Amino acid sequence: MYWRNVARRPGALVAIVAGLGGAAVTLGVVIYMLLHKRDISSCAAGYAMGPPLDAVFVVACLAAFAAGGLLSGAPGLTRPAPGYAAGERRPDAGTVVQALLVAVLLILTLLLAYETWSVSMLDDNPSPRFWPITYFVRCASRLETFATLPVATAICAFFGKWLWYRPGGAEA
Amino acid sequence: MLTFVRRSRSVRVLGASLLLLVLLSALARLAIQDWFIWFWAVTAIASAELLFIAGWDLAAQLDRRLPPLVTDQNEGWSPWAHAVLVPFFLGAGVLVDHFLVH
Repeated sequence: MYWRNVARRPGALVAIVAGLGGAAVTLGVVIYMLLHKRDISSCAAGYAMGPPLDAVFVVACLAAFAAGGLLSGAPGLTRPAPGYAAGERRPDAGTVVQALLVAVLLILTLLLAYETWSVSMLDDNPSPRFWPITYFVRCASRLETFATLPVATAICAFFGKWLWYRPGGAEA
Repeated sequence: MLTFVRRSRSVRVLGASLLLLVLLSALARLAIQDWFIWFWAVTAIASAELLFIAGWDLAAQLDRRLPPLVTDQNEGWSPWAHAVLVPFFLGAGVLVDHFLVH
């Protein structure tokens, strides 16, 4: 019954197929990188990849952001959101969803605090034991550029879907 | 629109959060001389503010006597203002990160 309802909603199907596809691609990338271990000693300096590939990443991510946001409001892909009159309090959005939001923001805050601390340690030790998180991202983008690109693009597409709020369209 | 800004609790919370962010960032700048480290410190402060707001709203859902800080009211300014807000900050963030911070 549940899956029959899901099959009737194109947006849910797109999300499931995209989620499974993304998980398969990510798993494939992880297995590939585990089987083809690379020398990461050059990553200790934290250099990001240079032009022109950095521009390719920026353009691809902006395009994916726009596509994710625009597709979320496309007719037939999403259900209309309920409208609220001025001053009306919204109905319960779900305590579980709110708790998940708090958990995600807590993790994000801790990660950003770690990033700040680890970056500040670089002045004393240019090759630190605890790398900033951005060093791992830069390292991956340098060593496996074309494996990193679809992952970064997918993340930007999800950001466009979740964060780009556009009232008045098909979704609002 | 000004009436909405005065009346909407969400907008007042947003204004107070931005003011607090500016104040805390200025204080952090006194302690952190490096612009790059300061940039990351500001992101951590902003995330902590969002965490506080989300945590308050979770408490408001559990205890109805507390007023929620984020109220979902579609009113006040044109849909275009809503639509360009996120792309504007995204573009500004990309430009600042790419040309100034790095």
